[in-house]
Amino acid sequence: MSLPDHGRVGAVPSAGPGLPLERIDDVRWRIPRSAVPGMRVDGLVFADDRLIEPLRTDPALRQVANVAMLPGIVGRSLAMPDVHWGYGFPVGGVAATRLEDGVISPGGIGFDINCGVRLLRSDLTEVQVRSRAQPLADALFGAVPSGVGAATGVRLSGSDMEAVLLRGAGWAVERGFGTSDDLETTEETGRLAAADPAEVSTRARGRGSEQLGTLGSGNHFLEVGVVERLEDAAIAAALGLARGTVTILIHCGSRGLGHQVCTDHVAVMDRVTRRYGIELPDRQLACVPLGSAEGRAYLGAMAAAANFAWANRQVIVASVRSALERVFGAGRSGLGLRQVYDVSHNLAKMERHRVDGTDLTVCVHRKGATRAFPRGHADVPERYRDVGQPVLIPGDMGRASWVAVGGPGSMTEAFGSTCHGAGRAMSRHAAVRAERGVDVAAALASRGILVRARERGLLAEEASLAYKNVDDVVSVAARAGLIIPVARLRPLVVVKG
Amino acid sequence: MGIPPDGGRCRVIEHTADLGLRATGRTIEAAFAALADGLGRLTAEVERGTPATATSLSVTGRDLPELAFAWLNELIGQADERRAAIAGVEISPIHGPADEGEAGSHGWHLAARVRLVRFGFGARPRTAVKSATYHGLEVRPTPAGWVIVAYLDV
Repeated sequence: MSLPDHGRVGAVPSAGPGLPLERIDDVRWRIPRSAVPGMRVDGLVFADDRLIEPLRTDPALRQVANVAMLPGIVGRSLAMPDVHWGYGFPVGGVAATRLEDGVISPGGIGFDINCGVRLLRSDLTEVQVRSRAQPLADALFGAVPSGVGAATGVRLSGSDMEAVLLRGAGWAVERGFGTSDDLETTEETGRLAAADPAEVSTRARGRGSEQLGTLGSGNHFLEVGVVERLEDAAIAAALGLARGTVTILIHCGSRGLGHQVCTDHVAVMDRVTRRYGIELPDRQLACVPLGSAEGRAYLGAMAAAANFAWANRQVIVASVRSALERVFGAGRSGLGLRQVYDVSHNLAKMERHRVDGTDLTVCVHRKGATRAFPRGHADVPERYRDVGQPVLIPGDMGRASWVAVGGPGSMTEAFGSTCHGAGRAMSRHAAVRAERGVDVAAALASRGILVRARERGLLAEEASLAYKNVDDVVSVAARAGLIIPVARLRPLVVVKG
Repeated sequence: MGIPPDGGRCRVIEHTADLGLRATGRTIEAAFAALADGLGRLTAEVERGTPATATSLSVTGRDLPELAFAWLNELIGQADERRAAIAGVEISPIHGPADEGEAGSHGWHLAARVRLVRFGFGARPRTAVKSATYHGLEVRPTPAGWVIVAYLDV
């Protein structure tokens, strides 16, 4: 057989050096569209001096420039304060494309479609949690399957899978895994109506069939925390939070089903991108026109996978509630358990935004970025409309997480978006090397944080030093007007996948 | 007749959020086998001598990166769907566009036997891999053989 050299797709993008980065103010940097041939719009990076320095040598900035080359992109190619090197899009990237001539790129959503965060509040106290920390950790660990290959042991029937893909969290609530109140405090009420299960492959269904109600692995977690500081007491009260309130954060997504949906549709788009006359600097940006058959197919499958993710978090919430009730011996009402909000950070949505003075419907790709609509926005649940959409920003397991609400700047500058977490600062292997000889669980325990993990050896990959300081990230998002910080949560008990 | 990964090697490449694999082999088949071996070792630890279930699979690609993308994702999908670890592969000779016959007429074609071990039955999970990506994907000949670089979403 012949061995021609036609295998090279393109090298991993070079890091920042050589890419012009212009300071706009203390928290904004511009990558001018003249920086790289093919950019259609400027890049805008939200960062202060502390956050921008490591980015200067990170491929993420080149990825911001690459995204700026997508056909039909409007406004700017955005990098949130937690941005870091991804694949195709950077993690922490936001891009909006016009309906008329814009594209949809599955890489702008990511493999874990509708990965997101859900927050519960309770009437428990920190003292109560500390007095039952071990049994609580054991109960949560036992109640929610986690880790690689995690499965519930219950296989969804074909008709149930169809219903999950169509109805999302609503299916779970109908089956007794929650209440209508949960749906009212979930982005899109836990269901995207555009779901088209016919576009979800047999392989994707197979991967997800035993995974509903499972946490997964990697950076996914359950975290019991306490509100240690309020930044805005009035908004906190509207969200049901006060200093000392015990909270539960859940971070996970659409599991193998969503991963396969993205894989399937990237493969399809990669085969047809050139047919639509689209040239790309990175093949992982594979995309097609929004109105094309392939584009509509992906959007239908993506919405179905998003619904699976919302159902997944809903089932997990039911397991968490049961575990808490068993450990503390009180019913749900006695524990004061109530959902604050559930928000996605890997999704594309059709939204109305003002672009260059004109109101447009655009497809907003959020890859590791959270929707952050400000107060008064029609898509914010009525109970929160006077304060703004809750934004949930998990940090790392050793420091803190944040609750915020959308700020007015999110609409004027970021297509209603903000950061989704702390953002990784270090590779997994570098983190393991840096933590060599350190018992991460013991170190956390010495600081009052109890951790349970399926793979204890993998804890070092998720250690605090592997992440940016979430306080710095939140500070930039706040100074840019993307969010209004509300409460800082300190972890007490963490269950890692 | 299958080609085991013995002739190839695979090592992990660092990435801020995810992981990469760099596989090499004297032949293209050895490099693809080494890539699968690297994926298997990354995702699970399989006890030596554990009985495995063998399954056949085949993937195609218009070019070699598409073949590598399809190969890795077929392995990831099969393993996740079966809640199993990849315990080994044997790759049949890879056919390319220059080859005569049906197999070569559609680009590149890879057929293999894959051995899978169910988690909890002699396999212990390690790193979860969601998918292989096209980001930075390379498949190229070198003076010493072949090299494949692939980044995985973990």
